[in-house]
Formats: sequence, C-alpha cells, structure tokens
Amino acid sequence: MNDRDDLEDRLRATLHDRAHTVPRSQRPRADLDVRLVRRDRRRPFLMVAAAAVVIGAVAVPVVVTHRDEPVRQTPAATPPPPKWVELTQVTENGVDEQVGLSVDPDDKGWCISVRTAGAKPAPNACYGVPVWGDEVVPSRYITAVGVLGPVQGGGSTGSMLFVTAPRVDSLVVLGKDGVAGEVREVLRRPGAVYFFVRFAEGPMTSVHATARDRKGEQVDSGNF
Amino acid sequence: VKTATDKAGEPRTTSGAGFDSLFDDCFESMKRLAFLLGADDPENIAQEAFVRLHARWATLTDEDRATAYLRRTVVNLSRSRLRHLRVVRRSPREPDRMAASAESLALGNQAVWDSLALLTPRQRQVLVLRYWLDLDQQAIADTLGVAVGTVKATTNQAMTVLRTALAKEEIR
Repeated sequence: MNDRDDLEDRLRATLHDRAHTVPRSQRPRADLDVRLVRRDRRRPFLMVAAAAVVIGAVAVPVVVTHRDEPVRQTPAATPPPPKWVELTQVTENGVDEQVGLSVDPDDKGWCISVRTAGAKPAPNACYGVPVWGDEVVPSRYITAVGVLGPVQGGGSTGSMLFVTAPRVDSLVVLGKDGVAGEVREVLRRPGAVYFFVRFAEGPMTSVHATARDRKGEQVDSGNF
Repeated sequence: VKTATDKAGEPRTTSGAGFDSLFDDCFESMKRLAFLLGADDPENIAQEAFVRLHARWATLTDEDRATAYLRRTVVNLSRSRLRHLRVVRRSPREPDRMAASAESLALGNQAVWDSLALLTPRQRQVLVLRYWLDLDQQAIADTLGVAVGTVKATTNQAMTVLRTALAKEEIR
C-alpha cells in the first residue's frame, strides 16, 4: 500500500470515528417543529405590522378631521442600541485591547467584539437573541457565554456575558464553593438584558445563575 | 451515510412523510457533517438547514436535490459560523458537549484529526465531503459551487498539508 492510500485510509477512519463521537440528539424533530412554528409565527406578525402601518396612515387623519381632538402622539420608536458597550479591557502581548458588546440594530443578534485604540471593533463571536420562554419547549430565560479565554501574556479572565429575557430585573451568579460573581447590567433592550459577570478567582468550569423579576420572583435558574 | 435516493418517487408537498423520513434519515449525518467541518454548534446548523429545506421543499423536484441542498446549506452555514469565530484564540474554552470521550479519542487517529485543523476551510470541506460522505469530485464541486479542477487541486493541496504535518509529528 503506498503512502497516499495509507493516508486516505487513515483520514477516512479518523473522520468516521470522530463523526461517531457526536452524541445523538434527544428530540431533534421536536426542536425542528419549534423552529418551524417560530418561523411561521414571524410571517403573519410582519404582515400584521405592515397592515397596521397602512391602517394608521388612513385612520389618523379621519380621527383628526371628524373629532377635532388633540392627536395622541404615537410612542417614539425604541432608539437603536449603542454601537458599542465596553465590557472590560485586557492586555495581550503588551497590546491594550477593549472587549465590548455590540447589538444588532434590530435587536435580533449581538456580538462580543474586540478593538484596539483607534480601530473599529472586530466581532469575535456572534449570537442570536433567543425567543424567550417558548411555550413549546421548557421555558428558559437565561443564556450565557464566556467573554474571554486565556489571554496570551495577560493571564486568564473569568468573564461571562449573561443574556436574559427583558422581564429579568436582577441576576445572581455563583461559582464553585458558592463564590459570587460581580454582576453588572450593561445594557437593557426591548428584547434582552445583558449582564457582564466577572469572577475575581478566574474562569469557572461551571456557574449557577438565578434570575429574578422586579418583584423578586424567580424567573429562571440554571447551571452554565 | 444514508442518502435519500431510494425515495425519489414521492410527491413533493410542503410537509409530510417525504420530509419527515428525510429528516429521520439525514439529521444526524448533517449534524456530524457540520461537526467534522469544525462548527462549534453542529446541532443548530443541522436544524437551520432543515428549516431552510422545509421552506423550499415544494420547489425541489426530487430527494437527491433535497439532500444536495441540505449538504450545501450545512457547508455554507458552517463556513459563516466559523467566520464569526475567526478570532478563536480569544474564545474561552466552553464546556465542549461535542468533545470526544477519552475512549472515543483512542479510536481515532489523533494526529490526523489535529492536522485537519491546519487546513483552510475549503481544504477541510473537500476532504470531509470526499472521505466521510464519499462524494465524487463532481458532487463535491456542485456542493461547494466550484469547478471540478478546483476540487482536484484543493484535494492535492490538502493532502500535502496533512502529509507534511504527519511527517513532522512522526519525527517527534
């Protein structure tokens, strides 16, 4: 057997072995159904929204003309999110960098970005804002991602970004041995609330988060 | 990897048995394809691929086309996902749910697997499509939207990279 055949065989065997390490999904069809329902739900909503704009344009002048009452101001549209919210600063290989959050103008997605002085932020990792508390799947109102891994020449950080449903007012995050992370609400948007959490002890392999609403009622909790 | 060529005669509907059986047959393999391409969220990519397929189901004339569409979507989604994660050195080490167990690692060839990380996304795609899905060069070209000649050249380049990396590994 020549070298090429040998490498091809090894490659084939490796790919097959690795593919089989991927665990089977628990209920993929149910998850797909959820996604299809969400997609179908968005379409009528968009049509209704478009229709509402048309009706509003026609109805408001009629009201003004016939009732002669002060026109109620339509609520101002939600201002767009800031382009950049700084989360923390790091020094890597002697270079100072800022790590921040940038939220899509439509509030449907967000990115953790890195920028150096004078440069535009470079998205590091981007995520979509979930549909919170979907009635089809068990409700979840919290998601979390780590913000930074080991930084070359700069030690390690224990920073995480938690994104929760808008109804969440406060968040408590506990690491190993019950040590509490420092939680800072960095941005509140109509679709999500963003909390930056830092552990002075460094990265945690697992943390437990509890989210509460304004009345102090627990909205959700879980391990991340 | 199971394909759906044996169900080509079923009528196309917006949903129904044809779509369901294709999902049952192909979901896991599409998820694995995304994993082998280096995606960090293969489950999500496979799901999204089927959502997109569902939207186009009525326009696909047979299940071969549906399977090809799925493959292409998974490849494209994996690529765009990797683009988002291009500063991976800065990314934290999340608990890797897809990480292989120690037992399964022993099954595979660790050196070959590590060497795959040295390839460009396109080189990796070509090798995975050829040596895992067993696609011929024309099918790979169709999936990636490139010429057959490009597939041949990319395969040769990728194999050279692997061979060089493995030779270095063996010297150590």
